[in-house]
Amino acid sequence: MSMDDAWKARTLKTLETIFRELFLDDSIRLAESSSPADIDEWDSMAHVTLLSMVERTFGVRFTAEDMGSIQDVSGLLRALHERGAK
Amino acid sequence: MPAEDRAKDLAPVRDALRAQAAPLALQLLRDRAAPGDDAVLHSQYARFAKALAKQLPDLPELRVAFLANATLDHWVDCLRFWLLLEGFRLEPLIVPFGTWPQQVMDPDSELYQFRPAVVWFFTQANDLRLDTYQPAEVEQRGADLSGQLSMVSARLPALLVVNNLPAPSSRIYGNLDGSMSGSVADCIDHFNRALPKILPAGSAVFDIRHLAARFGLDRWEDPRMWYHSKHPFSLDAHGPVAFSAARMLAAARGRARKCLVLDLDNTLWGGVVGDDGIDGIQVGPDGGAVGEAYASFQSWLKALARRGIALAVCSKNNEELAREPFLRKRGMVLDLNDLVAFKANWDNKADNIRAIARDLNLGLDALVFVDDNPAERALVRQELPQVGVPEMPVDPADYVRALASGAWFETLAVTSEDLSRVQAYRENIARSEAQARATDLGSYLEGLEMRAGWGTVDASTLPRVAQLVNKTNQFNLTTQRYTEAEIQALSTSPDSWVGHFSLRDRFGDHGLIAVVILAFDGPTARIDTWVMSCRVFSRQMEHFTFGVIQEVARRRRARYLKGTYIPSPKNAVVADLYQRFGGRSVGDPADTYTTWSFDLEAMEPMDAHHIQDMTVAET
Repeated sequence: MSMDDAWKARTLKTLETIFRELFLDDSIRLAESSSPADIDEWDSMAHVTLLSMVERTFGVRFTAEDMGSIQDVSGLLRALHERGAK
Repeated sequence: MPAEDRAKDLAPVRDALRAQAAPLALQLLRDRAAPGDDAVLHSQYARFAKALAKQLPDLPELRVAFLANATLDHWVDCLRFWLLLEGFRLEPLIVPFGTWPQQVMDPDSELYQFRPAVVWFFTQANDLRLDTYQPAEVEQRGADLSGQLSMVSARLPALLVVNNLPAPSSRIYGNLDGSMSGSVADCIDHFNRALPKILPAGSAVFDIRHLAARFGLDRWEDPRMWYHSKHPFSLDAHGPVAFSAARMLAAARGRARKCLVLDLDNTLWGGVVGDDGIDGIQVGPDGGAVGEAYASFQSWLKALARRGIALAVCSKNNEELAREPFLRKRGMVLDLNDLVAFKANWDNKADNIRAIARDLNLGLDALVFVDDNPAERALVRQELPQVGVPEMPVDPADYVRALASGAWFETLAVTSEDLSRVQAYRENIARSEAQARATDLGSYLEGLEMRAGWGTVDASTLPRVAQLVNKTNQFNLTTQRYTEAEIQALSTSPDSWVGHFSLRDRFGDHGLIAVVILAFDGPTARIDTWVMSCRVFSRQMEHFTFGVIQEVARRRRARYLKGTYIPSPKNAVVADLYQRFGGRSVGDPADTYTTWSFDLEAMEPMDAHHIQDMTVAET
């Protein structure tokens, strides 16, 4: 089943909240195209921490393979969709 | 993750950093951060630490090199944070993945070029690569590691740290794993037991096994994070491990806390002795569950005292009432002998704690303060930020864990000096009190009932003699440094004499506290070296020593005594010593050093009226 727009918009909004919380920066705006190139503090430590926060917020569990494939926001969306996040 | 689950408001820290107010940001973090905080908080702390370190360039640097077959970058970032709170800027080198053996073996490797103060061998169970699970195989791995450690220690004057190994959470033999010889658990135990024995001098074992057990093996191991990115343990474990490592490294660099200051009411016993009376307070089995909890806490404290941590009391109480439970209450575990200081009055606790530090001759950063009252804790934290003040839980049943988990008293070794330190503190306090009570110097000195002795150096006194010669800076006439071997040679040569001096008084024994080296040249005995510990200044020990020097020189048929004062940045205190003793200035006034001459036949023997000579035999 492909990603529907409503789900994508909702999920993006929640991800944005997570990013703002982790980086203590309410000015962060997330788009489907956002990647570590767009956010200075999104380094490898932040990356693994983000994955953990995303799992907890959405109640999903990424596999080791998922973790290797998620590089950016579009990867997060794809993995969340695959793992059945609501 | 809902914000309400994260009770720490870090916005003020971010704002302080943006305003370049680094000390404020550090204090805000110190008030908020706990070792058990989760991975998200720790990633925030780690980020703050990187920015903060740049704003605090005056903090001492600590260069640590890490050898690991795991991804340590994130853990090292957490370590940077906790080391910052200990007052250090971490300068890390994580050797490139897979290069551990080469880094150790190649004398020109990055490891050696980095000149680290600490080399951390981040050993893991995987590194053992056991096939046969036989003791011989485990021993071989231990020997390999020991070889690496020796190689590094021969090339670098660094502290070497090695991890011991946590037990695995999954057991091949199930329950039997725990009692079977040759099981993985058994091999790991074998390795851990052997580790302290195979380490060269100047190494430390990092007890990561304990941290993993406390954290819980199921949460500790994270197979996903291992396969995906080679993290050695779960992200949530990074914080507690980094905290413990920072405390250990700080202790290795001399930041050891030595004294625990304790409140009384509801800290050492249940209730308030002033209100409830000695019968109303609860401690020991008679006091039910509450009493037992306080008694257990006291047992823990008594063990700390036995290990060399000085215990002091600071209580808002009438002094007599405060002492009563120690004297009369059944169930008490601590007694007055376990305490080095007892301040029970109605003064401000910060003032009392300052006084305790002064009496013990300790910096405030060597103290920890435990009090059940949050208001008192806040006051002391505010007034005396260098004093460690752990948060205490409401339930005394949790007191031991609250204090123990703070890792306030880390140490790399226990020496006999530690074990007798508490006694030494008690003696010093007694001396300060005697001095405060004495009406004049003469009566104070007389009251000390000092007895001194001297002898010539032998195998048992040589290390302490060498230590004094090389470490004393203030009472040091010439700042001549000699190795043990050189001192040994001087002591057996017919042209020189090496003497040591000891002092004891009514309150205790100072031990060996002065060394003199004389050189004989015809009719002249020259004082080549004269050092004395600053512990015994101005007690007439100088006079006693000079009297002995005269005696020894006379016996060697010397006619003249010659002493030189060579100024150094630290020895101004003895600049006029020879002059005060009646020496005649000789030599060139243009010289930076001064030389003084004494005519042994003409002068009176120097007398130290208040010191009795206890020397038994003479060589």
